Amino acid sequence: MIDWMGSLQILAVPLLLTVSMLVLVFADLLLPAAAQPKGNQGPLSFRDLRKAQAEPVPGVQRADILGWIALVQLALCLAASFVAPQGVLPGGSYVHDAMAVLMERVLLVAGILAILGAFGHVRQSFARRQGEFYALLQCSLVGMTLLAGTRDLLLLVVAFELMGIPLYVLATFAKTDKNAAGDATPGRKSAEAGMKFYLVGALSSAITLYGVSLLYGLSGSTHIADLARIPSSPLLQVASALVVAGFGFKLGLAPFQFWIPDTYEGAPTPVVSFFSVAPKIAGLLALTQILLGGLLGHLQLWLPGLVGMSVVTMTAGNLLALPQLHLKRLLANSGVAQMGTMLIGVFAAATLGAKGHGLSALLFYFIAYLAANTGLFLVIETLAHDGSEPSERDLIASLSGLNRRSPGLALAALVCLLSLAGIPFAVGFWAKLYVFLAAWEAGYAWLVLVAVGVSVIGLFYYLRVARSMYLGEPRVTTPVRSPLTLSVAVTACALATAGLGLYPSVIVEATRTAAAAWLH
Amino acid sequence: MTAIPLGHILTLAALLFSLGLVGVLTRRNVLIMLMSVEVMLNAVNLTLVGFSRYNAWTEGHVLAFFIIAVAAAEAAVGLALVLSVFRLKQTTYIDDLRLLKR
Repeated sequence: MIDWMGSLQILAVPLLLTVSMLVLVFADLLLPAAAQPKGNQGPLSFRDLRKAQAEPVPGVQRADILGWIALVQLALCLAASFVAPQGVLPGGSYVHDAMAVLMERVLLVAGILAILGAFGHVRQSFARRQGEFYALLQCSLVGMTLLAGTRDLLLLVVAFELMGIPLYVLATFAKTDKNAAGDATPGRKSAEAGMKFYLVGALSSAITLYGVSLLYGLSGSTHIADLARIPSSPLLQVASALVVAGFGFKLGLAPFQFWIPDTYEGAPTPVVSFFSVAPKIAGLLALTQILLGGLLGHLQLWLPGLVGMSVVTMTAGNLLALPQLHLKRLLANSGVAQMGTMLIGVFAAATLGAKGHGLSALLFYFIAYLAANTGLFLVIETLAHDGSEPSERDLIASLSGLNRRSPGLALAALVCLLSLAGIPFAVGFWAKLYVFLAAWEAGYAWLVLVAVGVSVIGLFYYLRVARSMYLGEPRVTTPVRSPLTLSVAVTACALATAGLGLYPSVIVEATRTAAAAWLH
Repeated sequence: MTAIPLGHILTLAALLFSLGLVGVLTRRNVLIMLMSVEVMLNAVNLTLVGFSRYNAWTEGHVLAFFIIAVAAAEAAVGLALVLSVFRLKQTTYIDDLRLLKR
């Protein structure tokens, strides 16, 4: 007899997210109907529809109701993650353990920050489509939260696509954007970014799926744990290479990272603040599940290749970020380098398992990366929202002299930059330190030395941005104006980065418990 | 009736997959690239169903159904993207999309 209630409770967070997504879609459908002007009965022609889309109905103030609904829903889901029981679904395809709970919370916080940051952008650029925007964001979150606890290839495949497909749409959302001069370049860039993101995503899904189908054929089961009983064979070598390559595309590991700067530059900034972090975390977690949970016995098949990828990724990311003048492209390449560093945590966990601290260091890194990276992208969004010169939108030059305009914003950006650069005592320093210590313990001393060496390159470009903020000449001297919600999100990110940097022990314990629960 | 050996099915799937991969990497028309991705996904389905049928397993058939559904959703989004790009730029060639330079 299957315990239905128990299963539903274990799946509480993804289920609640699904329900809130549907509620949002219906609220979007019903809300404007109440405010619609009376007297246009009869079927609408296509021309009428387009007209209605072009000019907002006067007097209708939908304001940010849908955004607030979405925000409250995510807060409720976050609360639900505290009461949902831990346990295993019948059949063992989904396990709600300490690790899944921690990751659920991290991903929900990423969603909340993205929505807070998106309010202003949504109102300005796509107010009419805001219901879809928030619903798609939640749809993607459903996939991510499922990925956090999956133990089955079938669920992993479906959750991965559920996470990815809405993101392609979100990246294209600004397709109707025009800049102040009426030029449609931002819209075209967004469409182009979405197209590239989609093509890479679809190709990488197909490659991963082919690898998964071969793994299934070899093990005869979709359980990830059953992959361990596959005997070593050339076909297994091919299958694991395909899986690693497919994930490499999605996560932007070199040599598959070329699409990342293009996509980040064109997509709307609040969306980038979300998909530069949350899907990367969830994706790396899924890869870790397959590699550590299933293929740990065949370490020699995937470890050397992945170590090589990690070295190339760190080097390429840092070197390519050096000459960038465009802030989003700079952060895109720096994010690539950060992914390479996170992989080191996976190697340490693979070698030492429960004896080392590789996995907990990786989880800590996720949280540090979330705070600092989201914070910086939201600072870029704040400046773009303030209406900086169209010619220098999103460029490092737009930050010039920020300290004299808005000292608070400049300080927030500085804290996040220092954290990404790994300078004491921001949280990013501890994240790097823990990962490097775990790797050193596991015998990857040379890899740690390489990683430290290339992060020195990182200092140059992070500090170049900081120098522009503090020593550059401001073009205008008025303080930066920003919506309250955006300021709240930036402040939260900066406070988390600084606060966890001073008291890292607050989350170290949580990451240790989570890693221990996963490794048994 | 003699059954088709598993090796033949897997070889066919591998050929289809390579064909699709080459298509995505060499063709510049987005629509043809989408078709090539579909060919790759069908190779995945063929592999899954081949393994399952040969060994009398069931999960492979189920997974194939899920992949068909996922591929449909992905194609829907992809065609919508092609449409919105075409409206803005009147082209379906990936080489004409170069506003985002490196």
